[in-house]
Amino acid sequence: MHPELVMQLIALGAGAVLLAIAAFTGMIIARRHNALLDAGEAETAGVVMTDIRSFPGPVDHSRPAAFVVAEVVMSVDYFRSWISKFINIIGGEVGVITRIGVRARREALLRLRREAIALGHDAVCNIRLDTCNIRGAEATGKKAGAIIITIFASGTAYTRAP
Amino acid sequence: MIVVNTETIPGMRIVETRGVVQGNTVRAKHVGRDIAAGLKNVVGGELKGYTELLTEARRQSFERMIAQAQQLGANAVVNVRFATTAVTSGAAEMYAYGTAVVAQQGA
Repeated sequence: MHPELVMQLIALGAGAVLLAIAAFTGMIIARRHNALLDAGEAETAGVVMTDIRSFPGPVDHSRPAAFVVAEVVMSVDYFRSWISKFINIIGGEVGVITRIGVRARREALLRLRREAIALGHDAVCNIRLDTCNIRGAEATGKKAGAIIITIFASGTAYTRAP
Repeated sequence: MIVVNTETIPGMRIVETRGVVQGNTVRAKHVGRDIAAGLKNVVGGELKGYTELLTEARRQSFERMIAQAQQLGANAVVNVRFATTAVTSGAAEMYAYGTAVVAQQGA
Protein backbone atom coordinates (compact mmCIF):
# COMPACT_ATOMS: atom_id res chain seq x y z
CA MET A 1 0.00 0.00 0.00
CA HIS A 2 0.99 3.58 -0.58
CA PRO A 3 2.56 5.01 2.65
CA GLU A 4 0.42 8.17 2.49
CA LEU A 5 -2.75 6.13 2.31
CA VAL A 6 -1.59 4.13 5.33
CA MET A 7 -1.01 7.35 7.28
CA GLN A 8 -4.48 8.58 6.38
CA LEU A 9 -6.04 5.30 7.44
CA ILE A 10 -4.20 5.51 10.77
CA ALA A 11 -5.45 9.07 11.30
CA LEU A 12 -8.97 7.99 10.46
CA GLY A 13 -8.68 5.03 12.82
CA ALA A 14 -7.35 7.24 15.63
CA GLY A 15 -10.30 9.62 15.14
CA ALA A 16 -12.74 6.72 15.29
CA VAL A 17 -11.10 5.36 18.46
CA LEU A 18 -11.25 8.83 20.06
CA LEU A 19 -14.94 9.09 19.15
CA ALA A 20 -15.65 5.68 20.65
CA ILE A 21 -13.76 6.53 23.86
CA ALA A 22 -15.58 9.87 24.17
CA ALA A 23 -18.97 8.24 23.54
CA PHE A 24 -18.23 5.81 26.37
CA THR A 25 -16.74 8.29 28.88
CA GLY A 26 -19.48 10.82 28.16
CA MET A 27 -22.13 8.21 28.85
CA ILE A 28 -20.47 7.01 32.08
CA ILE A 29 -19.99 10.59 33.33
CA ALA A 30 -23.62 11.48 32.50
CA ARG A 31 -24.97 8.38 34.22
CA ARG A 32 -22.90 8.94 37.34
CA HIS A 33 -23.78 12.63 37.41
CA ASN A 34 -27.51 11.92 37.09
CA ALA A 35 -27.33 9.44 39.97
CA LEU A 36 -25.52 12.06 42.11
CA LEU A 37 -28.12 14.67 41.16
CA ASP A 38 -31.00 12.33 42.05
CA ALA A 39 -29.44 11.55 45.43
CA GLY A 40 -28.59 15.20 46.12
CA GLU A 41 -32.05 16.43 45.21
CA ALA A 42 -33.68 13.79 47.40
CA GLU A 43 -31.38 14.75 50.26
CA THR A 44 -32.13 18.48 49.93
CA ALA A 45 -35.84 18.13 49.09
CA GLY A 46 -36.76 20.20 52.16
CA VAL A 47 -35.48 23.39 50.54
CA VAL A 48 -38.31 25.28 48.82
CA MET A 49 -37.06 26.82 45.58
CA THR A 50 -38.93 29.66 43.84
CA ASP A 51 -38.11 32.26 41.26
CA ILE A 52 -40.58 34.72 42.78
CA ARG A 53 -39.02 38.15 43.17
CA SER A 54 -39.84 38.51 46.83
CA PHE A 55 -40.50 36.09 49.66
CA PRO A 56 -43.54 33.97 48.76
CA GLY A 57 -44.59 33.16 52.32
CA PRO A 58 -44.04 34.14 55.95
CA VAL A 59 -40.37 34.45 56.84
CA ASP A 60 -38.61 33.54 60.07
CA HIS A 61 -36.59 36.67 60.82
CA SER A 62 -34.26 35.16 63.39
CA ARG A 63 -31.69 34.26 60.74
CA PRO A 64 -30.79 36.95 58.19
CA ALA A 65 -31.56 36.23 54.56
CA ALA A 66 -28.44 35.67 52.48
CA PHE A 67 -27.35 35.74 48.88
CA VAL A 68 -26.51 32.31 47.50
CA VAL A 69 -24.79 31.68 44.22
CA ALA A 70 -23.43 28.77 42.21
CA GLU A 71 -21.65 28.35 38.96
CA VAL A 72 -21.17 25.28 36.79
CA VAL A 73 -19.09 24.89 33.66
CA MET A 74 -19.76 21.70 31.72
CA SER A 75 -17.86 20.35 28.81
CA VAL A 76 -19.38 18.53 25.88
CA ASP A 77 -17.36 15.44 25.06
CA TYR A 78 -15.79 14.87 21.66
CA PHE A 79 -18.40 12.35 20.54
CA ARG A 80 -21.38 14.52 21.48
CA SER A 81 -19.92 17.64 19.89
CA TRP A 82 -19.29 15.59 16.75
CA ILE A 83 -22.92 14.41 16.79
CA SER A 84 -24.07 18.01 17.27
CA LYS A 85 -22.13 19.09 14.19
CA PHE A 86 -23.85 16.33 12.25
CA ILE A 87 -27.32 17.36 13.50
CA ASN A 88 -26.43 20.92 12.50
CA ILE A 89 -26.44 19.78 8.89
CA ILE A 90 -29.79 18.01 8.97
CA GLY A 91 -31.41 20.31 11.55
CA GLY A 92 -33.59 19.47 14.56
CA GLU A 93 -33.06 19.29 18.30
CA VAL A 94 -29.52 18.65 19.44
CA GLY A 95 -30.62 16.32 22.22
CA VAL A 96 -27.10 15.34 23.28
CA ILE A 97 -26.41 18.96 24.23
CA THR A 98 -29.92 19.61 25.64
CA ARG A 99 -29.29 16.85 28.17
CA ILE A 100 -25.94 18.32 29.21
CA GLY A 101 -27.69 21.69 29.68
CA VAL A 102 -30.25 20.02 31.91
CA ARG A 103 -27.53 18.43 34.02
CA ALA A 104 -25.64 21.71 34.33
CA ARG A 105 -28.74 23.58 35.55
CA ARG A 106 -29.73 20.80 37.95
CA GLU A 107 -26.20 20.86 39.37
CA ALA A 108 -26.32 24.66 39.79
CA LEU A 109 -29.68 24.50 41.57
CA LEU A 110 -28.46 21.66 43.76
CA ARG A 111 -25.49 23.79 44.82
CA LEU A 112 -27.89 26.62 45.73
CA ARG A 113 -29.87 24.15 47.88
CA ARG A 114 -26.71 22.93 49.58
CA GLU A 115 -25.53 26.45 50.24
CA ALA A 116 -28.92 27.39 51.72
CA ILE A 117 -28.75 24.37 54.04
CA ALA A 118 -25.17 25.25 55.04
CA LEU A 119 -26.45 28.68 56.10
CA GLY A 120 -29.22 27.06 58.14
CA HIS A 121 -32.00 28.15 55.77
CA ASP A 122 -34.76 26.07 54.20
CA ALA A 123 -35.88 28.12 51.19
CA VAL A 124 -34.44 30.05 48.27
CA CYS A 125 -36.40 32.70 46.39
CA ASN A 126 -35.76 34.96 43.42
CA ILE A 127 -33.68 32.30 41.72
CA ARG A 128 -32.04 33.47 38.53
CA LEU A 129 -30.36 31.18 36.05
CA ASP A 130 -28.02 32.83 33.59
CA THR A 131 -25.45 31.65 31.14
CA CYS A 132 -22.08 33.25 30.72
CA ASN A 133 -19.48 33.16 28.04
CA ILE A 134 -15.93 32.50 29.16
CA ARG A 135 -14.62 31.34 25.82
CA GLY A 136 -14.96 34.72 24.19
CA ALA A 137 -15.25 33.42 20.62
CA GLU A 138 -17.22 36.55 19.70
CA ALA A 139 -14.87 38.92 21.48
CA THR A 140 -11.71 37.52 19.97
CA GLY A 141 -13.17 36.89 16.54
CA LYS A 142 -11.79 33.37 16.66
CA LYS A 143 -13.72 30.46 15.33
CA ALA A 144 -15.82 28.79 18.03
CA GLY A 145 -13.93 25.86 19.53
CA ALA A 146 -15.24 23.10 21.73
CA ILE A 147 -18.75 23.52 23.09
CA ILE A 148 -18.96 24.37 26.78
CA ILE A 149 -22.06 25.16 28.83
CA THR A 150 -21.72 27.75 31.55
CA ILE A 151 -24.48 28.27 34.09
CA PHE A 152 -24.61 30.95 36.72
CA ALA A 153 -27.34 30.60 39.35
CA SER A 154 -28.22 32.99 42.15
CA GLY A 155 -30.96 33.46 44.71
CA THR A 156 -31.79 34.64 48.21
CA ALA A 157 -31.81 32.00 50.94
CA TYR A 158 -34.12 32.47 53.91
CA THR A 159 -35.92 30.51 56.61
CA ARG A 160 -39.66 29.94 56.32
CA ALA A 161 -41.87 30.70 59.27
CA PRO A 162 -44.35 27.95 60.22
CA MET B 1 -23.53 43.33 55.72
CA ILE B 2 -26.78 41.79 54.52
CA VAL B 3 -26.79 41.00 50.83
CA VAL B 4 -29.88 39.76 48.99
CA ASN B 5 -31.07 39.69 45.40
CA THR B 6 -34.62 40.53 46.45
CA GLU B 7 -35.91 44.09 46.68
CA THR B 8 -36.72 43.82 50.36
CA ILE B 9 -35.12 42.23 53.41
CA PRO B 10 -37.50 40.15 55.53
CA GLY B 11 -37.98 41.58 59.01
CA MET B 12 -36.20 44.80 58.11
CA ARG B 13 -37.23 48.19 56.89
CA ILE B 14 -35.16 50.12 54.39
CA VAL B 15 -34.79 53.58 55.87
CA GLU B 16 -32.27 55.08 53.51
CA THR B 17 -31.00 54.44 49.99
CA ARG B 18 -27.34 55.14 49.40
CA GLY B 19 -27.24 54.43 45.67
CA VAL B 20 -25.96 51.83 43.27
CA VAL B 21 -22.75 50.07 44.21
CA GLN B 22 -20.73 47.95 41.85
CA GLY B 23 -17.66 45.80 41.58
CA ASN B 24 -16.04 44.17 38.63
CA THR B 25 -13.06 42.04 37.76
CA VAL B 26 -11.55 40.30 34.80
CA ARG B 27 -9.86 37.05 35.70
CA ALA B 28 -8.11 34.33 33.79
CA LYS B 29 -6.66 30.93 34.62
CA HIS B 30 -3.10 29.99 33.87
CA VAL B 31 -2.47 28.22 30.60
CA GLY B 32 -2.17 24.82 32.30
CA ARG B 33 -5.80 25.06 33.33
CA ASP B 34 -6.80 25.93 29.78
CA ILE B 35 -4.95 22.91 28.45
CA ALA B 36 -6.50 20.68 31.11
CA ALA B 37 -9.94 22.02 30.17
CA GLY B 38 -9.20 21.27 26.53
CA LEU B 39 -8.34 17.67 27.40
CA LYS B 40 -11.39 17.34 29.64
CA ASN B 41 -13.49 18.46 26.70
CA VAL B 42 -12.68 15.14 25.00
CA VAL B 43 -14.19 12.96 27.71
CA GLY B 44 -16.94 15.26 28.98
CA GLY B 45 -17.94 16.25 32.51
CA GLU B 46 -17.58 19.37 34.57
CA LEU B 47 -14.70 21.73 33.81
CA LYS B 48 -13.78 22.36 37.45
CA GLY B 49 -11.01 24.78 36.53
CA TYR B 50 -13.44 27.08 34.79
CA THR B 51 -16.06 26.72 37.52
CA GLU B 52 -13.33 27.83 39.91
CA LEU B 53 -12.49 30.74 37.63
CA LEU B 54 -16.08 31.95 37.79
CA THR B 55 -16.26 31.44 41.56
CA GLU B 56 -13.11 33.50 42.10
CA ALA B 57 -14.29 36.23 39.74
CA ARG B 58 -17.69 36.34 41.41
CA ARG B 59 -16.15 36.54 44.91
CA GLN B 60 -13.81 39.34 43.92
CA SER B 61 -16.47 41.47 42.22
CA PHE B 62 -18.76 40.80 45.16
CA GLU B 63 -16.12 41.95 47.65
CA ARG B 64 -15.51 45.13 45.68
CA MET B 65 -19.21 45.87 45.59
CA ILE B 66 -19.48 45.37 49.35
CA ALA B 67 -16.43 47.58 49.95
CA GLN B 68 -18.21 50.37 48.09
CA ALA B 69 -21.36 49.84 50.11
CA GLN B 70 -19.34 50.07 53.33
CA GLN B 71 -17.77 53.29 52.15
CA LEU B 72 -21.23 54.72 51.64
CA GLY B 73 -22.15 53.75 55.19
CA ALA B 74 -24.71 51.17 54.12
CA ASN B 75 -25.44 48.03 56.13
CA ALA B 76 -27.14 46.08 53.35
CA VAL B 77 -27.14 45.65 49.59
CA VAL B 78 -30.44 44.73 47.93
CA ASN B 79 -31.42 43.65 44.43
CA VAL B 80 -27.95 42.33 43.63
CA ARG B 81 -27.38 41.30 40.02
CA PHE B 82 -24.45 39.74 38.24
CA ALA B 83 -23.45 40.14 34.65
CA THR B 84 -20.64 38.55 32.72
CA THR B 85 -18.93 39.52 29.52
CA ALA B 86 -16.61 37.64 27.25
CA VAL B 87 -13.43 39.67 27.10
CA THR B 88 -11.06 37.11 25.67
CA SER B 89 -10.75 33.37 25.47
CA GLY B 90 -10.40 31.66 28.86
CA ALA B 91 -11.09 34.84 30.81
CA ALA B 92 -14.23 36.11 32.47
CA GLU B 93 -15.37 39.57 33.35
CA MET B 94 -17.72 39.44 36.27
CA TYR B 95 -19.71 42.50 37.19
CA ALA B 96 -21.75 42.68 40.39
CA TYR B 97 -24.10 45.52 41.18
CA GLY B 98 -26.82 46.30 43.65
CA THR B 99 -28.40 49.06 45.69
CA ALA B 100 -26.72 50.02 48.95
CA VAL B 101 -29.21 50.76 51.66
CA VAL B 102 -29.48 51.37 55.36
CA ALA B 103 -31.92 48.88 56.86
CA GLN B 104 -33.35 48.82 60.32
CA GLN B 105 -34.82 46.00 62.37
CA GLY B 106 -38.65 45.83 62.25
CA ALA B 107 -41.01 45.56 59.28
